[in-house]
Amino acid sequence: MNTPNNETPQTPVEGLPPTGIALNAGKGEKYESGKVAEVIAPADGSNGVPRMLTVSQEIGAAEQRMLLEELHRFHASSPEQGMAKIAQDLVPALLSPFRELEKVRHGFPLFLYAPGTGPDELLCVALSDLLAELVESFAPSEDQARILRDNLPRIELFAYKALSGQSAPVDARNLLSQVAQAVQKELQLREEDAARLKTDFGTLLDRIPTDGKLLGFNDDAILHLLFLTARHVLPLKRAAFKKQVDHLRWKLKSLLLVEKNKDTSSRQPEALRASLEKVSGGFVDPTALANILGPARGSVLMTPLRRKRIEAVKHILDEYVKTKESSLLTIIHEGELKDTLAKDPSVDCFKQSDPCKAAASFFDKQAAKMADVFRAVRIAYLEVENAYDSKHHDAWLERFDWEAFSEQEALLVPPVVVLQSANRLGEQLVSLSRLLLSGLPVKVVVTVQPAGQPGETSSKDPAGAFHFELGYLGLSQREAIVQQSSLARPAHLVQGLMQGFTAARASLHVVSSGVPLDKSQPNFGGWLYSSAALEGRAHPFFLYNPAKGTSWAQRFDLSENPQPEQDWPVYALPCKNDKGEEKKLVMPFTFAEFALLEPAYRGHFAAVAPGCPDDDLIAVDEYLALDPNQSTHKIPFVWAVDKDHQMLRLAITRRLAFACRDRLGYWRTLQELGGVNNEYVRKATDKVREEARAEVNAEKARLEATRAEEIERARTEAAGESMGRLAAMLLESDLTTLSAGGAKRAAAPSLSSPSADAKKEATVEAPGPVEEKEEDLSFNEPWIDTPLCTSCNDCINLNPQLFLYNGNKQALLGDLNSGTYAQIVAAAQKCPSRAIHPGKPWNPDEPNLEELTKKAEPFS
Amino acid sequence: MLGLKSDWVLDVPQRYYTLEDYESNVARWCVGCGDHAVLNAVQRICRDEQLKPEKTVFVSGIGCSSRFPHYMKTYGFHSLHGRALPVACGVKARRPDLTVWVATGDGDCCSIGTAHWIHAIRYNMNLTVMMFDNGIYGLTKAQTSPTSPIGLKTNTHPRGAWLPPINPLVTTLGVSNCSFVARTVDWNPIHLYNTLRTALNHRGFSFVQIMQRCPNYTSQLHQQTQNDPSLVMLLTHENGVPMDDSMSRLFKTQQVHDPMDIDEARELADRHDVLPIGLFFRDQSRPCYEDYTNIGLEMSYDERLAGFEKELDKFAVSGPQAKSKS
Repeated sequence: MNTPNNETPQTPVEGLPPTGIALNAGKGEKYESGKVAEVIAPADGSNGVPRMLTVSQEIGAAEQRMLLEELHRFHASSPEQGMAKIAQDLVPALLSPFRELEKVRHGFPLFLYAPGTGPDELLCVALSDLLAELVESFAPSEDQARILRDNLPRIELFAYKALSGQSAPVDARNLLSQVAQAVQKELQLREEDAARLKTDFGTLLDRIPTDGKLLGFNDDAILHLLFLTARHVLPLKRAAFKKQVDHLRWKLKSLLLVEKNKDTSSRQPEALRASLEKVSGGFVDPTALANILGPARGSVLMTPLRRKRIEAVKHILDEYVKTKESSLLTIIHEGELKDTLAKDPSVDCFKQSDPCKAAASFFDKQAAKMADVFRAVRIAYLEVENAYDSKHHDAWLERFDWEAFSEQEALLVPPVVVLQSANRLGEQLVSLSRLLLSGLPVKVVVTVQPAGQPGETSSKDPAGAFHFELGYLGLSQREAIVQQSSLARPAHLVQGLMQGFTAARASLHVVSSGVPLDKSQPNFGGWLYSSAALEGRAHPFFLYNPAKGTSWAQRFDLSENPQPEQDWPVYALPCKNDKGEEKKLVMPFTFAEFALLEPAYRGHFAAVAPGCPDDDLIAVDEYLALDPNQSTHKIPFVWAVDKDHQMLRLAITRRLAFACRDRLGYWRTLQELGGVNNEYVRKATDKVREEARAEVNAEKARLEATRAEEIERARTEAAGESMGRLAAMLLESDLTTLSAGGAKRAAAPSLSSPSADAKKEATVEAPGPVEEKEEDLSFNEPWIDTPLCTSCNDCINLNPQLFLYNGNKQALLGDLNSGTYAQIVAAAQKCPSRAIHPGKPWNPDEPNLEELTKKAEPFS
Repeated sequence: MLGLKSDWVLDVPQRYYTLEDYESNVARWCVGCGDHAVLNAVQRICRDEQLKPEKTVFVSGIGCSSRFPHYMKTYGFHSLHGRALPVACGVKARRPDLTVWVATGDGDCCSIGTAHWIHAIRYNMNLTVMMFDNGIYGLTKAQTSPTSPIGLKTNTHPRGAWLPPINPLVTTLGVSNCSFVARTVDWNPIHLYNTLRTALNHRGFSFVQIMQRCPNYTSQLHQQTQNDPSLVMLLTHENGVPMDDSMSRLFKTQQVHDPMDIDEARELADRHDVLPIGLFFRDQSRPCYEDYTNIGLEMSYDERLAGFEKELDKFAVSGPQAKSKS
């Protein structure tokens, strides 16, 4: 745990605001002036841009003070004594574009592949992605299957609506063919367009992967994804194992056959008669045959004990192959399951009061069943190799149980899955802990309500205490796979389940259910709720797999969280301020924003009246960044938007601010484990940087000293040399020519050479612009440059079979046999955009070809 | 956010419109007339933007191109000569929710409608204005128009036009508060489509001069430019008309021009050696007149009544004194 790691690609960003954000400190408003934060575009165009409330009338100083005092009182109070409750249609400002889920392409319906049909071992994909990909596969150009392509959102919406009442997955082709009919009916296209759309729909439906199913977002979807994963894993492993068993059975049968042939009695006429009677019908004389066969080859028989052992093993393997396969999954649960799930023939469901405790015995039972088979397989291998040694193997095989299973064998045992809600599990933590430490490959799937406290009743105020983190408890068990995920990100959930199902170790999957604590109040849907829990760090995702390596960096993955390097994810929301100016307001999505979606937290929010002084108001993230002593007199707030796009600030209670601080604390712990903003890493990098800087400075000082030394030396030497030369010259030369000659000698090499060389280099290195030669294109086939067509009807009027219009009402060539070369040449001459290219004549019997070819030349 | 991709908006309009939903009568323009290309481009834009026909209006004046509204299955107003722009401004002033297109010609816009044109530029109402420029009065059989080149022989100038023509782009760029000026040619449907679509998506008065061929009276006017694409200069910029590979290949003469640079735009508009096409100028920040004409449009009956009462109350004698007197 103390291992620092610096492999995280993101650089930690400390504090806000980053560059490019202009801060209007007085009102806690940060406007984006650069491209810093991801901008959340409104779903319904400019009309849907949130507007800040304006002050309708001037408020006096006394009234302003009163408003502020009231807010202070609210902030310090508990929710029961609070101010007037806030409106139910308020959502966090950042979520306002996503308020209507029908208008959001959010990954559901989900397409579930049948085993072996998905690309790259994919288990599921968003229907929107699948449809777009399939249409692309048969209509790569934008103009192909135009109407179908334009109406893909309509198909998605219809499928979404059709699945809204269904909790179980439904056959994708059936549903989509119904959707296809409904869409065609709604579009009311003209005959030609309708026929085109029908053909395209047919092609699309044909390409839907076989036996695929569609799943909508609902409370049971977690279970269906669990089944999906089990279906993709176990049958394939079973099939491979059966093949192996069949091979062993054949080998054992051969062994026994050889043994039988060693026995002379098998060659007696009576035995031959008995075996031939049915086929020969008395034509073969068994006595004569027995004489021909002669004595048996080999006479050393295997010991009766070995023979008995082989027969017993063969019997077990025969029985295994013959018996119907057991279920794919054993689910142990405490709460009620829906009939559709409980009656699934491939799943065994058992209701137990403490499922974690019961799971071990269920697994033992399943393992014991398989232990006989695995033992038989091992004996069979030894016998086939004639390597079975009673002295060694008897005792070992005697106590052969699940602990002796190889990883492959352990994965053949139908998985035992504990399904439990966090609320119930809160009381059974000892059993959970024991189960995770036992090493049994049991999967525990826990559904949590991210707003609540596991084990607490929903009526209690959820903001009052430190939050209990089940996932963190799982991490502390060290050797189990632990995942925290939610249905809002099915790909992440399935990835974790897949790792759980393909590892011979325990796994814990803590999944956010999307069900609010207070179900009696209207809410904005499970998907938005679960997604907001992830954004607001109420339910951060992670995946911990001890099999991935020995360090946290290898084992622990936080990357699925939005902006994992930040305390809170930050976005920019286009909005209009109280003066009506369009702005992009930068704001974080904190736990308080998530809490606004949870009806149980409603009492922790109070609207800040327009005109209330801004002095003590501060955004939640800034509040949390302050020292607790400084923040005492501040009131943290979040931005909210109602259904009429009015934007207002909501002050929060001190208790909710405490909950925010608590969640932030947990998130920072996870960040450290994931190597983000890790203090050890920071210290280590600081140290390395300091050392490097010191080294560089030392090197610099050394070099400077050397340089100074060199200069000094050169100066002394040069002075001595020049003095020597001067003396020599004065003694030997003619004084009148000294100045000119000396200057020439000195200047010649130093001045002329570099510039001349440079010029030379420049001319060599910069070759003249090479003209790109265009390929000389010539076409023998006639063609039309369709995008250039101006739809003037000239060619169509000439011959409507030879020239056709496409979906854009632009011309293309039709059936060449229904027209003449003369017509195409005439059309080319008429075409105002010169888009028709007649090519060469295709019918040599046509008259005047020579003349026509000449006329066509300018257009080819 | 929320793990969504950039195409997260699932926009499903109530109705889906195909090209046929915008097609009305068979166009009665001459064979080879450039207007056919404009009609097709506009119908495709309507389909691609899924404009509601019942929320779209085409307004025109008088002239060949002003027959445009007859060929669109939308609302249309075939108005008086030169009066396309005031009618369109009127529509926009009271029905800002409608998409308003204007089809006008060189005669309609630059001669009898000039006063309206200048003021409409200044009003900067959200209109898409297509100025079909064929340099002639075609409907009335060849009279000199304000954009007829010097020497063009017409019924009114049998020995050739005397005066240099008006340059509609230079004029438009000279009027204060102009916000969108572009030029395209009818014989390149891709550039035509892209220019008009850019114009439609600009909020303000989008003026597009369409160099249009008249096969009967000015067939020579654009022939040379059409046959020799190097005579056309393509204006390119990331904020300009979207480019297409075929356009880059065809038009070798190109210049990068920032549409925010009005001085360069004016220089380019006045070039005579080549025909610059593309977006000359765009400024999204210019005020739109309909934002002022629309104030109070959404007021309910009660709100109007309350306002009316309040105004009248200024003249009424009120208070306890008045009551006691009565």
